[in-house]
Amino acid sequence: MGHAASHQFSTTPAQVMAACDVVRRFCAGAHADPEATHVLTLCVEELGANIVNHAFAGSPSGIFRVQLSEDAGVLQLVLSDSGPAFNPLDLPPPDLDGELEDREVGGLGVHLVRSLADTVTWARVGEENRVTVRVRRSLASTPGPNPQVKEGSPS
Amino acid sequence: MSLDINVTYAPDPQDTATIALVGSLDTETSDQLSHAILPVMDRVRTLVLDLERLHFLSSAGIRVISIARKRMREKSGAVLVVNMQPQIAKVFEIIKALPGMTVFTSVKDLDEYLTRLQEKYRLQ
Repeated sequence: MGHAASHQFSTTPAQVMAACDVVRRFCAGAHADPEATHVLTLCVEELGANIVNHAFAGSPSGIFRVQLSEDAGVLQLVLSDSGPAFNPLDLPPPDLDGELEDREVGGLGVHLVRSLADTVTWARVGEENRVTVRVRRSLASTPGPNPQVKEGSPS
Repeated sequence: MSLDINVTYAPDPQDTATIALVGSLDTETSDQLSHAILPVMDRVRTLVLDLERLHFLSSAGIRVISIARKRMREKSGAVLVVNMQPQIAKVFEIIKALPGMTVFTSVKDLDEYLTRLQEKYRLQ
């Protein structure tokens, strides 16, 4: 196991962006390339914003945790929150037809995460939602698989 | 990261404004752009988004751009995009927004387009 870090944030947009800064610093320490850094940062932004806006409905009183680790060239991000059981991977695919402004709103963030990360999984662990994202440390070199794995079920 | 929003109204054509976004358009800063863009859209027919120094874009920012495009289209105007960074282009590409967008890779190409657009408006 290489680098590892764990951080806790309150459920506000500003704290989501603070989590992004933590991810960027972690990626720099893990020698991730710019593409991988961008992907992991975008994942924590989108998933964190989902927690803030949906799990806690804009209330700043909630908490979410970000755990980061690196092993064998793969970066792992785990986002945990104590909101109601909700698997973002169960969201229907967004409307991607036609002009951007004519589409149904919603689902773009999770779509970005699913498209960019190598794997995304969700689990309900105790009273927590736990989303795990894995991204190779070097994305510039080779294209990789993008399997969508779901784990667990709401308790 | 924060977001700086620099608005420039072109002397000619007078119905064009450029909004240069610097930094990060995200869940924290998207409201900032929502508020700043409204009075600009009321004044012009062509809105240029200069993304040369925009380093981060998430779905929250995409929503603001989408709303701007809708509002400008309703007044027979347009939103043009110039100088998109590769990581920003990638985000638009994944959500399949690029085919419907007018994107310029340089200010020179944009200026030539605006000149032609102005000619078209004069003839109307």
